[in-house]
Parts: sequence; C-alpha cells; structure tokens
Amino acid sequence: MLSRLAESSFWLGRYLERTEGISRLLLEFHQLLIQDQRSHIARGCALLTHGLGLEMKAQNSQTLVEIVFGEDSNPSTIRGALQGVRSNARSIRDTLPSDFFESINRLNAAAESFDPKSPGSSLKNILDRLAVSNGIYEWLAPSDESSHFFKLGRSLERMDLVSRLLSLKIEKEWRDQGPATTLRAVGGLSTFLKARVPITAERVRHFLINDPSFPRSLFESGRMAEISLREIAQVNRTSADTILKPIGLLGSQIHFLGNDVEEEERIIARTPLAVEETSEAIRTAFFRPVGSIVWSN
Amino acid sequence: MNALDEFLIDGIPTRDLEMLWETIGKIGTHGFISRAKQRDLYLSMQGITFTLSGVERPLPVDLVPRVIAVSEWQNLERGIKQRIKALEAFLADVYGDQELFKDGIVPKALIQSSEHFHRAAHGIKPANGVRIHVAGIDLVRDQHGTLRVLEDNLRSPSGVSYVLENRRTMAHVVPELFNGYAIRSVDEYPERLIAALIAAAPSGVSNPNVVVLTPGVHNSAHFEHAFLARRMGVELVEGRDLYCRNNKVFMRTTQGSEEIHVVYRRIDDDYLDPIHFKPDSLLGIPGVLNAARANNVTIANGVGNGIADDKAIYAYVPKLIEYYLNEKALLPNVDTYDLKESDQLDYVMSNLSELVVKPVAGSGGYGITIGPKASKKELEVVAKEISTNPRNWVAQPLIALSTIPTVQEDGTLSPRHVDLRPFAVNDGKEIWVLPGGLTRVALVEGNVVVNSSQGGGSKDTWVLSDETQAPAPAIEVAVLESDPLKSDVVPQMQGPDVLPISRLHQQEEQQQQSPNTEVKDA
Repeated sequence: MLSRLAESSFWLGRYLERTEGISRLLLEFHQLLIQDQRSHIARGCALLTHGLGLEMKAQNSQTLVEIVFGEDSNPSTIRGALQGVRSNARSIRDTLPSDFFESINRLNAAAESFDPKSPGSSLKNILDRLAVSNGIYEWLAPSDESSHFFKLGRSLERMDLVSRLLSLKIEKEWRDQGPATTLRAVGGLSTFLKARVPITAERVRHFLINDPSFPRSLFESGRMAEISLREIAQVNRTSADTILKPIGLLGSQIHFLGNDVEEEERIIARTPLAVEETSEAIRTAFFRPVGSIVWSN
Repeated sequence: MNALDEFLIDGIPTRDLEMLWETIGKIGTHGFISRAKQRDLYLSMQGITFTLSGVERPLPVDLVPRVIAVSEWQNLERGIKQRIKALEAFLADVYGDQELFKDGIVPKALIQSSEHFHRAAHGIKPANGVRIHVAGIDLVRDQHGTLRVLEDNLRSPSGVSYVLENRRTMAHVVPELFNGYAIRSVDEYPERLIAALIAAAPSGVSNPNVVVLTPGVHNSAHFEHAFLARRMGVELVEGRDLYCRNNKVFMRTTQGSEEIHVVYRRIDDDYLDPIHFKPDSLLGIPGVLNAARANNVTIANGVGNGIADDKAIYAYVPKLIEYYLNEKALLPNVDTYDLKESDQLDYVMSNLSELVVKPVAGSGGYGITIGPKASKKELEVVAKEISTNPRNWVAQPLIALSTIPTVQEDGTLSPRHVDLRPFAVNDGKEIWVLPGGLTRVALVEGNVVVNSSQGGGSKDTWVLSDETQAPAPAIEVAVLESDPLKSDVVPQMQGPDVLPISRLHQQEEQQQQSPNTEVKDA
C-alpha cells in the first residue's frame, strides 16, 4: 500500500487513542482537584501538565481544563490530538468507511461545543463519540494492511499513555481516592474489580503493567502491537524482529517481573522510550521518509 | 417554633459560606434549572438509583451542599465514637453475662419484650469483639442549634453509597461550587469497610473470604449493595448462592464450593436464617447462625443488634454511656417519653396533638404520627393503639429540624428541613467516622420526615478540612523521594501532518489551486 496511507492510518490510530486517553485523564483529575486541599492544587495541576509533556502551568482546576483541552497546534492536548485525527482521516478519506468519517465529524462537533465551565459533561460527550468512532471502525473497516497500521498505532499510543499515567503516581499522591482514580483514568476500574481484590496502590500499578485480561495494560498493548506488526511484516515479506526489539524486550521484562517494585519503576520509565524507538523503526521501514525538498535558485 | 437555618442567619450566609453563597448567586435561577437537568441525566446514566415502591428512580441530590465546620465535626466525631463504644459494650453484656440487669440499669422486661432481642444470638462471641461493624447515627439540629441524636441504626444502615456518589455528581454538575473550599474526602469508605470486615474474620483464618449478602435486585438499596461489593472487591451473593455444611458456610461456584468467612449481610435478622427465624424465608442461609456460633463465620452486623437501636432503649443510651464508659454523653438525645411509666403515659395521652409518636420497632419513617399535622381521627387511632400496648410506642416533642436552602423545580432556593446520618466503621481497634455523612432533605415544603423511603432527597455534605492541622494528606516522604515532577518533561510524539505552519499553508494553497487547473484543461 501507499506509504502515505500507511502512515496516516498509523497516526489516526494513535491520535484517536490519545484523544481518549487525555480526555479520561482530564476528567478524573478535574474530579480529584476540585475537592482537594487548597495547598495541593497547584501540585496536582503541575503533575498532569508535566505528565502530558506540556510546558504551561495551571493554577487551579479551571485553568488546567483550558490548558489540557488546549489548542489545534499542540498535539499533546485534546484539541491538538483531535486535529491530528481529522487531518489524518481526511487524507485517507477514500479508504475509510463513510460511517466512520461521519462519526469523526460528529466527534469534532462534540469538541466544538466544549464548555470549560462544566468539563464533566463535555468530556463525557467526547468520550461517547470516541466510543462510537472506535466501534464503527471495528465493525466496518476491512481487516487489511491499513487496519493493521491503525491498530499498531493505537497499541503503541496506549503503552505511552499508560506509562505516563503510572509515572504520575496518582495512587500514591492521593492515598484515598488515587488508586480508583488511576483505574478510572484508563477505564479499568470495572475490569480490576472483577478480580475481587481490594484496591491498593501496589495492586493497581501491577494490574496496569501486566494484567493479561485488560486490553490497556502495558503487557497486553505490547502484545497487540506485536501481532499487528507481524501481520504487516508478513504482507510486506519482511521480518518484524528488529523493529519489535524495544517492545519485545519490554514485554519479557514485564513477563518476568514478579513482585519487584524497583523493576516496575524502570519499566514505566523505559516504556515511552521503547515506544518512540519502535515508532521510529516503523517509520523508516514502511513510511519511507524523504527529506523535505525545497527548490531554490 | 421557628426552625434554624444552617446556611443563612437573617438572610446573610455564615462566614464559612460566603464564597459558596456568592457562587450560588452566580449560577442563578436559570443556571440551576439547566444544572438540574444535567444532574438527572448524569444520575440515570450512571444508574445511581433508589427503588421506591417498586419503581427505580434516581435518589435526587440537591445542588446546594451542606457544610459542616471543622470544630463542630470534631465534637460530632468524638460523640459518635463514644456512643458506639457504649452500645458495643451494651450488646456484649445483653448477649453475654447480663450484668446490667443485676445493676438495675435497664429493666430486664424492656429488653426481653423487644422483638429485636434474639435469644438465638445469646453466646455468639464475635472473633474481634465487634458486633457493630457499621453504624449510622441519625442526628437532627434543633431550634437552638444543638445537634441531637434522633436514632441509632446498628442493623444495616443504608445510604453510604449515595454519600460517595453525591460527591462525584456535584463535582461533575456544579464544579464551580468547590472553588476556594478544601473538603475532606469520602472516598476511602470501601477500603475502611473491607479492612474492618477482614479484621472481623474468625480467628485462625489468614486470608478470609468476605461476601456481601443482598436480598436481591428488587430491594430498595440494591444499588448500594452492588456498589459496596464492587468497590470492596468482594462477591455480591444472594442467599441461594450460599449453603451450610458441618457448621461452615460455602458459596457455590463453577469451580466447586468455596468457604466463606465473613458475611456482610444487608438482610434483616428475621430473614437471615430460616432455622432460627422466619421459617419461610427464601432470602437467608439455613444454618448460618449455628456456623457463627461455632466461630466458623462472622455475621456483620451482628445478629440481634436491633435491641440496641430499639427506640425504647434509645432513651437509656446516655445512662448506658455513663454505666459502661464512666463518661457523660457528648451528644444529647431528643427527650423521649417512656410510655410504660404511667405518669408519662398520661401526659402523652393528653398532649398527643403536640407530640411525635413513633412505633419502637419501625424504621424508614413508616408509622410515625406527627401530632400537630395529624387529623383528629388519626390521633384517635394512635391513642387506641398506645393504650393497647404502650411498650410498642415512644413519644417525643416535635423538633423544628434545621433547614438549608434547597433548589426548587423553578430554579429558586427555598429552605427545606434536613437531618444528618454520619456513618462509622468499627474494626475492633478503632472506630472511624466517615467525614460528613448522608444529609437527607425533605423536598416537600414543611415536611419533616426526610427518609428516602418517604420520598426525601439528599445533599452532598462537606466537612471542611483543617489545613493548618492536616498537611496535604498523601505527600509522603516516599513519594517525594522519587517525585514525578523532578523528572524531565517527555514530549508526546507528533505525526507527520503537523508541518511548520508556513509549509502547511503553502501546501494547502497549492492543493486548492489544482482543481482550477483541471477545469481549465477540460
């Protein structure tokens, strides 16, 4: 397939997942912060912006909402990630099911009517639309190379987001609400509770790192990324091993983790790097980047 | 008799509430109408419901919170702990050596005539001594501002799930009200409860299996049962899921039988064990009481606790506190007439139209007659019932319950009567009181019965946190050692579409030009 299409499918998957991840995170942080000790709010705001890689500083929950909802030009914010969804979807519009394209427009409309004064309902709206878009993609998009790139992007973004979430240590910072908030921020509370064990900070970290039954755990997202990448390599008659090395190594570290808390910390810190390396390797292998050519006399 | 408003004194908010009052003013009538719609939608989407007369509906949470000052809360907390400690001692005594009868503290006949006194519970010794694992103490504020205990709920007090959900709902629907306030969190309740239940397990069990026992989905509080089971991470079971063999309790699972060590039951004593109580109960577990007696399972709350929250025993609680703890009661009762004493009975019978009369065994606000509001005929009926069996009734003077501004259907505010039910959890070492509790509000003007089973609503209840005393709770040294803020900012990756703006525009312009070219060519 065309490299450009492959690349847009990949980034469509990543940005969709990112929009969802940041939305959930903001929703939960907002809940946490408006009930918090006054002296603690600035630190709470700083944690989220730092974790998302944003330079701006928020003073209270409302400015935090404005910063993280953000602007089109910053892909680390909700608006920016949505902009990424739209522009990538547009460039491969002909290959996407029309229902999906329509759902993206509706998603965008939901974001347009975002009201920073009541972020709760607005974010819930966006999350609802995201669920519809993802659902339509699952039902209608043909299971071809393009969808493998889409899913690959989604899985890598998941790993990145979950490791960012874990590095915030919400569940240690807010002893009482933190563990449940961390789980809600990735939609994992119900799955966690199915195991019928009490919520503790340690269990929550462990769960998000290596629970095989939760699709967003680092372990499971890594495994899904590997499956998609092997499919792509098979179609292109090439080997995925070199590209897979960073997340493959991570996967085996998680597999043999046991109860080593320090190793958990190392894994969390290493994940965004492994994702970046893999992403770069995919780019070189399949998207055939060329330097931008500028003609001049 | 004028009720006291907790929020406004002569129309002016008390000091703690100035900022809140200002924000409420900013939201305004129209604001409250639209927020109320948002709230109803949120509650039904989340499935936060209460079943009233068989119909599932959201438990309405009013959009104006109740605020409790730090100092008042500290007194309240101490008073509640004291009360529960005394009632624990009382229960241990009644179902054990019965020293209190020898000392003449409470008449033996009063205890033995209570329908909540269960001989079957005699001699069951809980492993960690706790019978009141969870308590809900109902308080009202009288016209002088004093908080008084209206009744103790020591069987299975419900409503705690709404306390947790109300906070989330408020943060979702009216976030701006929180601006400038630091409020103590309520979210740790499930963790406290599971810890207390684990601590209550029979001795020698290292990893106890805890379940929540519900009557089933048709129970009014089923949402709460499911909520607690989920949040505690334990199984929600019905009676038919459990059975007893060899004085042990087992749960039927696809992998065979699994032994149960602690049953947090949300069904009444009467239905708990058909062998000892109602023989036709379909909700209970035949033999569970014998298993408890054999110390193979702990039933929480304890069987027979109803004797301690019997409305006739209630009048004796201050006396019990002195007897068992050698302390004066910190929280006053509402004056209660003992209708077995003939002079008090005479007084009540001739002043019925000014008193509140309650059945001693009732709960949920059923069967209460409010003298000033009752018709002549209703009063006659009550008078007849009292004279037939005075033991079944108590009478209290009518208290003008305090009010708090409450949002009406048209978006305006109007004072409505409230009560307060703080929840306490006893793990055998410490009694922990959930900051705040459930504030129930009578939504109908002038109504003083606030029970949710009588169509009442609720309010989010804020206990302000004392920042000078309590440092931001969870910044522990361990966290700071590897403070996430000290690490480098890792920017998120960008896709190829985010070109420098100038190049992007250039590309756009060129792309826009090409159709024109095509038209010319054609």
